Amino acid sequence: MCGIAGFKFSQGAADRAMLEAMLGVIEHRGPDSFGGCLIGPAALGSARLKIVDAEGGNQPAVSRDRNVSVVFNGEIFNYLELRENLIAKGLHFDTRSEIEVLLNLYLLYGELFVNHLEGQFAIAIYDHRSGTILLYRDRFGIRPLFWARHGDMFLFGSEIKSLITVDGFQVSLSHRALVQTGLFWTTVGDETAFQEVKQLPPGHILKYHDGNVTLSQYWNIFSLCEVDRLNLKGDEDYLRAFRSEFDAAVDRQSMGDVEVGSYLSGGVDSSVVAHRRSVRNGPLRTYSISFSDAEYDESKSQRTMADENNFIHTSVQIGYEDIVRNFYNVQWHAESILFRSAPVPLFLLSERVKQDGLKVVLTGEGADEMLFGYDLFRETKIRRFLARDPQSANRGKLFSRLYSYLPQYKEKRFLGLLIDFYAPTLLSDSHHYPMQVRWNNGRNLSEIFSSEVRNGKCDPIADLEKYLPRAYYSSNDLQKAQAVECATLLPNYLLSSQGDRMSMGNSVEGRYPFLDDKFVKFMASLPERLKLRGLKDKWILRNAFKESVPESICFRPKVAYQAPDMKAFFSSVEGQDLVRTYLSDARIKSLNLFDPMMVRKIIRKGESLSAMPRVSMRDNMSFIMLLSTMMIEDIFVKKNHLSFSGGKKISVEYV
Amino acid sequence: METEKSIIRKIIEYIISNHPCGYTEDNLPLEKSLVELGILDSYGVVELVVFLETNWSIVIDDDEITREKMGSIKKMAALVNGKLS
Repeated sequence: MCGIAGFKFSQGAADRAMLEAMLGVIEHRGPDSFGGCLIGPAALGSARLKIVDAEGGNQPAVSRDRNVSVVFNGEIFNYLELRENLIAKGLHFDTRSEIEVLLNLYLLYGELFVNHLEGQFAIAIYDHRSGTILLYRDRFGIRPLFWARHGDMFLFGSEIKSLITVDGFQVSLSHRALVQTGLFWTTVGDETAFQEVKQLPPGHILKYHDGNVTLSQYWNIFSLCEVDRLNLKGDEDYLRAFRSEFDAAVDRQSMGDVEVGSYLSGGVDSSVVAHRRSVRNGPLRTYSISFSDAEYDESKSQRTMADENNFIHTSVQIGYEDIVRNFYNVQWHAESILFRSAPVPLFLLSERVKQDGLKVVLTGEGADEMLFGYDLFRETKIRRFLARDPQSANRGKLFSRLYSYLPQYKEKRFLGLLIDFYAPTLLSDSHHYPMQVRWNNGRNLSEIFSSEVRNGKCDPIADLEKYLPRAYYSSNDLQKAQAVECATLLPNYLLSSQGDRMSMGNSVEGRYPFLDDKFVKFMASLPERLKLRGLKDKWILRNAFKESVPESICFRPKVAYQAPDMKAFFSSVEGQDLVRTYLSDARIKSLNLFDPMMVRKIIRKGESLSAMPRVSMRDNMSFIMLLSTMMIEDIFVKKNHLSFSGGKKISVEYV
Repeated sequence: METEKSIIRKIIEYIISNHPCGYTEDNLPLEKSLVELGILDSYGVVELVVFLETNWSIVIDDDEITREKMGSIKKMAALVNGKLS
């Protein structure tokens, strides 16, 4: 696991100091060693965290004739298999590392070598013969990769901050990103929080040649429609197959020469992951977040799971002050407009993992997308069911089985209101039927933006549609909701702001058995009724492992992982100071991104929170988006973060 | 003695100060659904019910929490007024 960075000039020789500054600022991603190469006008570099072939896997890998050089961040889970195939085809290897496999694959297959890879990766290749830079990103977007043009230079890196270290490169906040985040909770496509910086979308290849950038998609979620359907006799056979494929995924994802730990959220996904790893590998270290505020705390389930399985368990307790004190640093790592404070505890959790000397943790991320675990999937089913008979007195009652953690769904007396709430979109013929309720809520959030942002020519749904393949429009509701989740929240929040950036901020690599390429194909081969059976979500996962995981965890309804948002900031002097600094009237007016009157109203609401039993999701989201945007403006646009004044000196080994 | 007009005024004040939106006390529509206007989300209605109940010491029955009885500020004011008189 590593961080990568590099660039290409249009002419002249590449510059060492520039590469070193770009690598120095992402040292957290790979503090074990730095490597670089300068070939003509191009430079490629890596900050390496040694996990696989610690001694042999130094980067970049450069071909013998120095025509092709490669750096990469991530893991290729089938690299040994690929290596054997390449050797059989007569290619030569000096090491047992993944990077050398990538180099040889490219030499043999050319640009589309990526189709052979299974794993989580961001790869950069410079082919000196044609002067081309190629960038690749894994299918789900587990590993990040950003790029920009600066004058006639092309820049890329695992994190945006690498690009910002480049002399004279100035970023500004993207209005489009703000509007997208208001609606989808994240940006979409190649958009980042900054107008001048793009991300390479998951499953895409970028080619920079002759000063032109071209993007092509090598994979999308609908590629899975081509997977042959599994046709077994009955439930028992499917459950058995699921168990065996899942175990294989956990084994593959545990690859490496170092100890592998596991996160334990208290939900079924990470519990099953941790359980299988410990059964297959012996004593396991597990890590959980607990909250001083009982509204968010799940330590009881975590403790039950850890005790029953004799995990070597560590729980990191998070109070309001932890959220407040670490928010700025988390923004430095996340580099995006956040809508929740929930990344903060994950940053503190990986800090604890690092203290124990671990570099790799397994997580349960991806199960909700692949096995239809979100309430969104069930909500859509109920809306369709009610739409067939909108006057039915009983059908609407099913809404009370959703979002068990929200009081308006839990308390019977609000049922009538809920049915009314769903009424306006019930009979809609929109292509995006599953997303309509959420997007309507999001639209209302846009009121916090200034009229300049609101009236700009941004159409987030059109932006999203650019990345939805044609197959989307003929797919069913479940597939549509899954595709949108995989184009928005999964890559651009869960795997980044809560995933890669929070763990790599402390040099810890996350692994995702539910997003393992082979296992994903297996899950795609299963009939839908095994994933969402009636309104029972993740049916096959829960039933496959019901003997291993305590019933109270295995069959409990989904609880969204969240952390205190507004409450944390307004309940302490320190938090209120931050609000006063970043959300001051003068500052808000000078940036002209938000409506000053709305900001004042939100602050006033925050100040009177003690009188409220609970803060609504909309208020929490508006507040965190505001604070987050104002902070990243300070950090990256004004470059007020210390790391931008005087680059960190690192020692790079050149090949 | 509370009048329907003063109830309306208090509901408007509550909405404007607790639910950040683009409307002001002078132009908040009185006969439209606050949910459809985008001012309240589903939890916003929960907060509103709690506000009505505590501010006027009344109990709103489960079958009254519907668009028919609470679908606009005027309807809510009539509901509250009906319980007070």
